[in-house]
Amino acid sequence: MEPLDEKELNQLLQRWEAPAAPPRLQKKLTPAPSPRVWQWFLRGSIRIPVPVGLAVVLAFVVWMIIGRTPPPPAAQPAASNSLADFQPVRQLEPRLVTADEMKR
Amino acid sequence: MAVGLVLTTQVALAQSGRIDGGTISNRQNKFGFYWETRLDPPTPPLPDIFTTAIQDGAGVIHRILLDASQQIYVGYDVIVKELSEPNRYQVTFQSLTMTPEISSQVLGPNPSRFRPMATPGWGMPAPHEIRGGEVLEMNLLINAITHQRVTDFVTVQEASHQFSGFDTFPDREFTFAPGTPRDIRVEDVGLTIQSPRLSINGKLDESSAKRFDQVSGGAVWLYAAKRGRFILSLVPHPELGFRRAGEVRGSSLSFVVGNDTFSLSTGRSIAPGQAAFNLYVLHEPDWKPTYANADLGVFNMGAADRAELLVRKEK
Repeated sequence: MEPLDEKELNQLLQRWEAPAAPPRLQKKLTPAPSPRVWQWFLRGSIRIPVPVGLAVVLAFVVWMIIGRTPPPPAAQPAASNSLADFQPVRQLEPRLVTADEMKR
Repeated sequence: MAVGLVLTTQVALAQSGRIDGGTISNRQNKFGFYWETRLDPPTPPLPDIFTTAIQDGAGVIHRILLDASQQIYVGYDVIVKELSEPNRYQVTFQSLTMTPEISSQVLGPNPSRFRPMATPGWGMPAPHEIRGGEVLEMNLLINAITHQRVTDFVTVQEASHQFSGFDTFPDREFTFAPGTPRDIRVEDVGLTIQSPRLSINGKLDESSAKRFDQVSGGAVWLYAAKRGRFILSLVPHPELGFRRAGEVRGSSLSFVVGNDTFSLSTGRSIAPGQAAFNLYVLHEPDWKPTYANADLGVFNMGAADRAELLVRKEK
């Protein structure tokens, strides 16, 4: 077979069609459209440094421990009595208390 | 004809262990019968009790505890005789007798609206001999639900009001703290308000100029017309909503609430010790006196052993 001259090579080159790029390469070369905000909330991710992540976890644990401490009791309302809620003792029994109290 | 002589009684607005106290002197002013009424335990309080003692012409002292809101009363009579031995007295307790004169003095113009509590077992006279200054404890009432007791502590001592020529001496008072002694706590440090003169933004509240009585307790309160109640304490009590709003200096105190400055000049030292102290205040702007016939337009005051007993949920 005779070798092709330059003219024939040029004609042959113009008829040659390059094969299509593979789909994986196309995805890498063609930027995907930006996801919508609601899609980001569903499938998005945040990259944070490890020290920051550990600090957040530690703070959460401390908060859980402190947060479980019961709050100080609120002041109870001063429900009131009336004299009608009382009954007189059966009989008056005066008791000398001064000496008894001093002996304690 | 009955003759009454009441020296010192206080409307028991204070909700505390000490409900009330007072004294009444015999006709010759040689000795006085003193009492203090206490509620044990102090909560729930008895906010509307008024207690008094009246001596009739025969020398019988009528001790009466009155609840005007429930229109009910109870009491006893006591007869004190001076014995021949110096400083010894015979004290006899018996059922309360209410003459028309005593009724009108204590129960007002329409005494029939009040009903007495039945005390059938209080009628047996039981004389007791005591020395001057000794204290008798006497249970009067029991609440079966709250297990509270109303108890009178009584004593006989020299008369409260003493004078010599033109010299008069401070009135003698009686209080008695029952129970086992313990170490003092900061909550025990109380305030005393005697003969207060209230000024608001420099202007004297004229209604306070008519007050010559005294209240004391771990927390005291002042009521000013259209401004509500101010509960005062030397203890911070942030859990109750108190905030540091003023200071106590000897017989004077002052505090600021909103744009108003309240100043109180009293007849004696307000706090123990010689230093100036921070004053913590809880303002209840909607508070009004609730006892019968309360005059909402005048200065008023009261006290309690602890601030918790005064602070209400409805504030």
